[in-house]
Amino acid sequence: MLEERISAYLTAKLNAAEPVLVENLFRIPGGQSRETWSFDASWAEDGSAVSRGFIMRRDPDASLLESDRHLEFDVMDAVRPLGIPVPQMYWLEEDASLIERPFCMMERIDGCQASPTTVLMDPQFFPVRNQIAAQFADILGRIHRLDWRELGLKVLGTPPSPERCAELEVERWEEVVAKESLEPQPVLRAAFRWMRKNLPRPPHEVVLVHADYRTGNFLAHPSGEIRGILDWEMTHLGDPMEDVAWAAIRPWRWLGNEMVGGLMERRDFYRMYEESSGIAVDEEAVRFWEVLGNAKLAAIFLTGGRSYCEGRTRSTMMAFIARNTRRLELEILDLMGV
Amino acid sequence: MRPGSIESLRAIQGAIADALTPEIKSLYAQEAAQAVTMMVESLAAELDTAVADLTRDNDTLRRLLNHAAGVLRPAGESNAAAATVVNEIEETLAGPAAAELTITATTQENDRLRSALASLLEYVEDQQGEPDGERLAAVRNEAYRYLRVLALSGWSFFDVSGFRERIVQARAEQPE
Repeated sequence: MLEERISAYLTAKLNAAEPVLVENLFRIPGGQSRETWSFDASWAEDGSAVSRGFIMRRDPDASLLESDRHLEFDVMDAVRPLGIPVPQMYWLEEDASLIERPFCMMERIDGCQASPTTVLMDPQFFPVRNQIAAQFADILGRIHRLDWRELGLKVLGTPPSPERCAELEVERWEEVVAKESLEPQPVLRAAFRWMRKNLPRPPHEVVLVHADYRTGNFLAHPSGEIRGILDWEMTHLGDPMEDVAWAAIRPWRWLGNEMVGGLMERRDFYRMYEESSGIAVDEEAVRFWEVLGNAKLAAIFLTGGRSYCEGRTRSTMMAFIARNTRRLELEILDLMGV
Repeated sequence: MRPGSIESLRAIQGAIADALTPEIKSLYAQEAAQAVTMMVESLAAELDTAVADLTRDNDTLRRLLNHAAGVLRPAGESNAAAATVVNEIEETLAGPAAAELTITATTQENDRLRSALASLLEYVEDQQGEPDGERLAAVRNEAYRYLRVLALSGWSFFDVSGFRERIVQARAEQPE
């Protein structure tokens, strides 16, 4: 039983005299690249009863994306003291014998919603949508203002030169498409060539890029406060316009209109982001990064599809999403202007 | 009359929606049930005309590639990259058409043709801004026109989320 293994782990980790009681364990939907589990834990500490909500992110049997688990853990751990709202990270364990696969444990932030359907369509969030939108833009600006050198994170690797930021991402995702596709991809292959011919102006400075910053990856409280930015597993050093564009791509415009993230007009997003970051939005660069973003999402879908077809996962979602790349191709063709 | 493939898929959807989903307590299982329902929706949108669509696609691709090879052939006399693409197209077009009217056989033929199209488009995009780019404009337009039609086909969960208004607009703009 998973509860028992988690209990044994926490009992040892917390040095609890009695076994830690684990209750209300359930798997949270989404999070295809890592399984996400929620549970309540109770134990005695210095004679007092302690109860706490936990989130466990565990490696899946197969993933939409291979990512370095240290990267997400270390970056979230490093940005939290600098005022970026993220859950507190507790432990990262690579020993698969503990709970079947490597995992990390973090704080559960209660009372919030991440689901775009809830955040955008539940009436309790209607009065605070503008507030959430403003914070969404502001927090992205603050992430880009962080001095990543001071974070001292080796896991971020060697910073690229500003001139190489775009090229590196093109190379990275082109390689994923080449490796993971189960069928020919004329639109994606053409798009990568188009990107190489249309590289954006280099950014003034290299920043910490979240790389999956979008509606669906933050925890919003009904008070209108964003209390957690999630899913940092693709984070890297790069061009700030990469995040601006990713936040704005059509797949995340959940309401089906042109509102960025279903939250705000594009011009408002740019204005609030510029105010927060001090970085001017380069609209031509954003167009390039939107092409890359849609191709990247297609690459992620194709990775899930291959995992399913090769029997590395039985996830229905992975099988399903790989059947949905055509609309991303339409968007890529629109953005290429062809 | 017995229920056909589409009716059977609808029966699966109905069972999931009416009998199974209301009984599911776990959010994760509810998401899986929703994914199955949507997958069935996407299959139902394609199944009836799948072989006809693939056969028509393959005919279109053969015409498109044949035209492209004709345009590229002169460049291939002095340009190794163009010659490679022409060779790939010629070899692909010389290959057999689908031996049977099944989804598997027509898809295999489609994959071969799309692979040649991908190589062609890589070359075409590389030539943009180069002297040969303008000469290839008609080939480029024809290829992307075809790919746009394909990108609009079928059913996707994006049609009921981020792409809702865009799909309506794109389908309205699509030539008959």
